[in-house]
Amino acid sequence: MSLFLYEFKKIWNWRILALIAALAALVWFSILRGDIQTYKTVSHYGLSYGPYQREMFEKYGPTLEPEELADYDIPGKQAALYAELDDWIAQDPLFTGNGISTYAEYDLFRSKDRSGMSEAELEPFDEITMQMDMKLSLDEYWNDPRKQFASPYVRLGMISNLYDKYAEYEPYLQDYIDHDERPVVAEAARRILARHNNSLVPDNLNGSVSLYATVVGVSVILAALLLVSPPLARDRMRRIYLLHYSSAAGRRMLFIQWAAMAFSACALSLLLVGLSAIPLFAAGVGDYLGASMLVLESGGGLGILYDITFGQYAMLLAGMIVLLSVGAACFAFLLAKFSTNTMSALVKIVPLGLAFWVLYLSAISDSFFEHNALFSVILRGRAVMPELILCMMIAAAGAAAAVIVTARENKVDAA
Amino acid sequence: MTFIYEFKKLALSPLVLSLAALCILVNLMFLLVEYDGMTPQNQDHSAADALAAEAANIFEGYRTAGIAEFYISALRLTGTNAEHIRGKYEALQLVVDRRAAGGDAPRTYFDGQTSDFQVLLFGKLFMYLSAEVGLLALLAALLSTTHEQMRGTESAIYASKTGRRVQVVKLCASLSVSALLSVLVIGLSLLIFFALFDFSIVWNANVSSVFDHALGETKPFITWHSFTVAGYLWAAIGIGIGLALCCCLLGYACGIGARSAYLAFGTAVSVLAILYLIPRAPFMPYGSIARGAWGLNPVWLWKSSGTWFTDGRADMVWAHFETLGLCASLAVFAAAAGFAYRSLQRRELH
Repeated sequence: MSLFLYEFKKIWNWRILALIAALAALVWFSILRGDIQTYKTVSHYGLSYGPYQREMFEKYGPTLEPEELADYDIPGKQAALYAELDDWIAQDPLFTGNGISTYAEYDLFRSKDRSGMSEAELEPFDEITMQMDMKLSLDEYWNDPRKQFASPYVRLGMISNLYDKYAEYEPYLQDYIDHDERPVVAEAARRILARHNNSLVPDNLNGSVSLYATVVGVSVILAALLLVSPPLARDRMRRIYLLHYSSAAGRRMLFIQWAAMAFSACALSLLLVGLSAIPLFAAGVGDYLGASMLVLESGGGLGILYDITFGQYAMLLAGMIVLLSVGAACFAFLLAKFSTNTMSALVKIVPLGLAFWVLYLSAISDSFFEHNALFSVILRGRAVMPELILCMMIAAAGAAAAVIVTARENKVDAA
Repeated sequence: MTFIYEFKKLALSPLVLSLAALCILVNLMFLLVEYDGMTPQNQDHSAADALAAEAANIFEGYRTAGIAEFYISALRLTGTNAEHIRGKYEALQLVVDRRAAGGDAPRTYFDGQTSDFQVLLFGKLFMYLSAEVGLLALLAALLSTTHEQMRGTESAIYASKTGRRVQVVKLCASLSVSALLSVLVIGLSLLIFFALFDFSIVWNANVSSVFDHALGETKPFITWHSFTVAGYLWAAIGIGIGLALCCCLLGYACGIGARSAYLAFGTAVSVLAILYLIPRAPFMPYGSIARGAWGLNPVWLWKSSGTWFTDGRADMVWAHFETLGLCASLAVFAAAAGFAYRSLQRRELH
């Protein structure tokens, strides 16, 4: 045990830890902080449902029952917004100049029959309707949802989206069940239908967390490689391993070194994932830990395909990052073991890191979504959670190869 | 003579060669995957399509100010930052006017399908290629400079008549090996590309006429100089090799500046990471001189591959950013390498 601790101490070199801390700070300030801010803005003002979904969540908890949907009174809210919109329109010269004083009149004006119009009439008509639409949706603030939210037209769109999602979900799901050739996707749609699409998990949660986890995952794996690879390669360059082999510990030493590397990778990745989760939870994702991720997204797409809560989803993502870090450390152990000096070990470990980077971006990021490349393109939606299985396989393959090499070390001629 | 030995040590190292082979293999796989995805719709055009070009003189009366205003509103630029962007596109307007007057109006070939090839070749493949040759050059320089230390022959060599000057020879060797490997990797990958895809375009036509759209955008592909397609390809290869030489100089500076291989590599990676990540911070807004100057670093030049020799989107403030950037980066890294060499000459080694 004391040998293991010494090896562990050798790995946790303060210089490399300082380098990792500096790189982590760089990644935080340049990428992750912006992601968190985007998540906050979108949660309050944004995209499909604005703050309304959050309001429902606060009122009714993680699931929405039909009587709660009735209690939220979406038609009443819509009517209030229509009234507000009518006031807007009645005061705007662009509308009153064209004889429009209410939203209903605008709707009628907009959907006027175009087939009877000549080319000369059509162009100004299209121009004016476009201008009206831009005015109503405060289009000049299109990249600032906070300001655009002031428009009742925008809020009306949000609340109507919300109504579509929780009252009109059936056709979207039925479409998946009838036409999707990927069995896991169809099964997910069936499950959502069976529970009446009742999860109040926010629409932007899985996307934001998945994006965040991708940046964290790649950085953590590279950091783990950076931390664990030096000592073994250095021992081999300085021929310390011959000293080890002639000691009482003998060739068991190599196994201890591997264990220290794998354990360090595990500890570092847990630490970094834990640290990176703090700002995410500070932004308020913790409220949804018990909410089911299985829900129809805005626009009628499916999000996460499995019946897991947000807490389980976050744990799975963290677990996959840890598994990949340990797998990467095992492969780094093999490469360093078969190198004669630190530089040649490095030249082999750099492509390994890049390979893990590419693997993460192409197969692991967007885990558990229907558009994940591994799930959708390679396996055609026939396997459940293939991303997790791949991570387990990589970690297992790395560990198995490392154990075989350490076992064989007992029989080879050390030189 | 020492040069030949050093060159051989590096060029015939199984590690370097297998890395280069790995790069080519990765490119081959990438191109095969792309080929697989492209086959149905894009392999059916004939040479007749190319000749039946649709005469669409989009340069005549084209206003580049529209591009500037698009970026300014999309990125919410104000004040001097917006003025810098406007200034750049005003300068580009002169190029457009000259083209329109000169009559080399762009035409659309292949019914606009070249756009896919353009994105594939200059957008994706060149991005991979320059990253790969840059990495190869960085590692080759690190291998070369740390070789004696790793093998324990350092003290013997430094005590010899050549002494620490051996590092100058190593610089020449790693630069030549980097250039050679770049030519090898880029050449073979392009060979694979042209073997896989029927790229029967008019090589002598103007690059703006053949590639009628900038990568993934709706604006035309306007180069500051008038390039033929073949000329543009050669120029892009030149920039790619130039970036590799920058990385080689960086690796050299780190390799002799730091006494430990890991520290050297860590420094090189940190430098590249800082160059890449800093402009995302809020104190370098789009259109500012700071961002424009920072955009001249090799990592951002790599990131903007596909827009080389054009306006370079909103990231870049000056015309000819790639030439300017390459010269500046080469000068800065060469100075760093020179500084590292001088400090090595004066250092006490143990």
